[in-house]
Amino acid sequence: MDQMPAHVVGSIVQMDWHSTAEGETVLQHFYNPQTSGRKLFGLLERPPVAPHIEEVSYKLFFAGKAGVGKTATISRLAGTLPPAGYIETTGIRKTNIYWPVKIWDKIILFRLQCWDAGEHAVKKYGHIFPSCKAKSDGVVIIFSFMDESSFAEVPNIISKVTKDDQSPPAVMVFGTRFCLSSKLEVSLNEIKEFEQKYHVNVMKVNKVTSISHDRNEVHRTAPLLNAICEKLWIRDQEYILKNGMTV
Amino acid sequence: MGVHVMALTLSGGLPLFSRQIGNSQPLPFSLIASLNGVHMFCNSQQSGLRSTCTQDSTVVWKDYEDSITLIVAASTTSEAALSELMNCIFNTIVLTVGLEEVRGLQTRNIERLKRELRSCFPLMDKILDAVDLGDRNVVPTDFMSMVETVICSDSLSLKNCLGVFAECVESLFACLMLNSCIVVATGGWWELMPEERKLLALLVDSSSTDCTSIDVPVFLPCKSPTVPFRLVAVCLISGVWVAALCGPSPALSAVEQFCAKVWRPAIDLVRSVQSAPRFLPQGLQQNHHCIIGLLLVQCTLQKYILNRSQSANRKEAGDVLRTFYHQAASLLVPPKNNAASSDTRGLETYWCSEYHKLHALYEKDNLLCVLYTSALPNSTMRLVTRQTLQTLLSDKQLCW
Repeated sequence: MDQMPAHVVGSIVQMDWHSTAEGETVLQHFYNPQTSGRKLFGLLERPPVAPHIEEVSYKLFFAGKAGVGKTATISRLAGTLPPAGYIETTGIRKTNIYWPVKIWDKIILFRLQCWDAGEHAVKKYGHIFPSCKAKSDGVVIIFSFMDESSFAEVPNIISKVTKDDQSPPAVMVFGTRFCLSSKLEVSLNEIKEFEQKYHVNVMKVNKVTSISHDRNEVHRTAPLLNAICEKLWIRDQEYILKNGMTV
Repeated sequence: MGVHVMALTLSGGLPLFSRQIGNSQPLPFSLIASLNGVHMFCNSQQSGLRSTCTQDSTVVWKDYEDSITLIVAASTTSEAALSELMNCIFNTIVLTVGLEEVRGLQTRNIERLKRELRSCFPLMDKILDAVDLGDRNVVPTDFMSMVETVICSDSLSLKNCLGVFAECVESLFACLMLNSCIVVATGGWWELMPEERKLLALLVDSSSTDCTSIDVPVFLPCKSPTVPFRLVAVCLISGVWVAALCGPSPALSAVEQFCAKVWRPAIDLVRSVQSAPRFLPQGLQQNHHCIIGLLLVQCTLQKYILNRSQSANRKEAGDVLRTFYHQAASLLVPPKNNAASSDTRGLETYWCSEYHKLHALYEKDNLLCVLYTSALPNSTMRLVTRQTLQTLLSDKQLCW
């Protein structure tokens, strides 16, 4: 774990930029006219934004116990329809999510390569974990607020993904199925303790209520994506500082 | 009642999964148990129970590898079609978990197998979707065992690119797909068994929703049922995927790098694939206005193209040609395991109806069915079909 002073979320990335006129204009290139959701772009494509906008690419590995909602979280971040019903992921699924972010006064296009692997496939086939872990810039660890054992596993996963690594990936923790109105298996006190111990913010992803697929989806997802982008950006800045490199 | 598929362990009758399609409720557990009970009883009396039928529905039982019983109940009278469906379902099981897992069912943890089998439900549902009972409001464009191909005006250049890509990822098996239809494929891909090719195409289609690349372990039901390969597929531009069967290396990220290296210079070609319409090739369209649509099947490779003229209704042309194909194939195409009888079979057949005429010609393993306007004289049909087949086969760019 990095012992650097924790940045206040939102101090670098403009959190409400996506609701501004400029943000809306850029974002309109990201929608799929057929589904009204967001669009995915193939390897040889990119959103038709102005060519001078700089693109940065990061690899994110989504880890966590089987069934906590890794695939569903990625589909939420990507703004696509969540899978109907639970189907365990076989092998590796990779989703490239393009997300424009305003950092200070500059728009930067983040390309988040989200690697998702089914837990059972990871156990059964040896090549999957190394393939997902190799050269990852960030690890998003997912647990479910409704499953205490999935939260108990988080420290193990943190040590597993950060050990023996020259430049350990940025660690982010997401708790899914968060709901204020029902009883949670993982209490908010536990979360607080955990946050202090590991110097990470636990982000709460609430239950996906009815599939309301409109453009407001972007505004609900924006805080999560912005937080991920900021974390990755900070990791890069620290790396540059440490190694005395110039951009 | 739609179609119901159930899988149970042969020895203990424990249910492994049950899937269904069509407008009906899931079968109650007691009914599944009774269906299996009859079968078990017959087995214990040293007699096999294969199937039973009522006026409008059929139940078929089948045992696989002495460990799994599949039961299919469907509102159809065609036992052969259901039997084909069951083989397809069993191949899906092998594709996902491997043959050894199925064989060692008695000694292994059944709960684990059940869980692993759940991951092939999307693929099974795709297969069930292809079953046409005429009672669903869908456009059935699919044949159970055949893969659809798309012909492109510049297939040759695409094939070259694909060859380079396959070499980079050290694979003999690679193909370029447009929405689960094969655009071009390497020689190795065409040497796979037809049912494997079909399943792989469906697998890419079913696992690629809402992601941009996949790396899935697969067992090949015929060629490699016990040693898994990796099916790696990458989305180049939306709708167009390139897939390859790889060994332990290269890793997915390396495959993506090769993809970018090989396909980026050919981006215009890839774009042309994306917009490849299923219309008749230009030349044919101009010379023969009488053609409404055509279906060309390569019987050994089990691949087909279904094209229509620009003015034709897609569903209508497809439906008529499919129905005609089944009729024509049963008359003209010699059965696979009985090549000797081919000399007694006809080579051409036709239908005339109020609105259409149809003509089929079987030549050198290719079966061409053409849908004509009814104004065309019968004798001319033969001539046009023959010319069309020659045009399609001889065009180097199409790479049939």
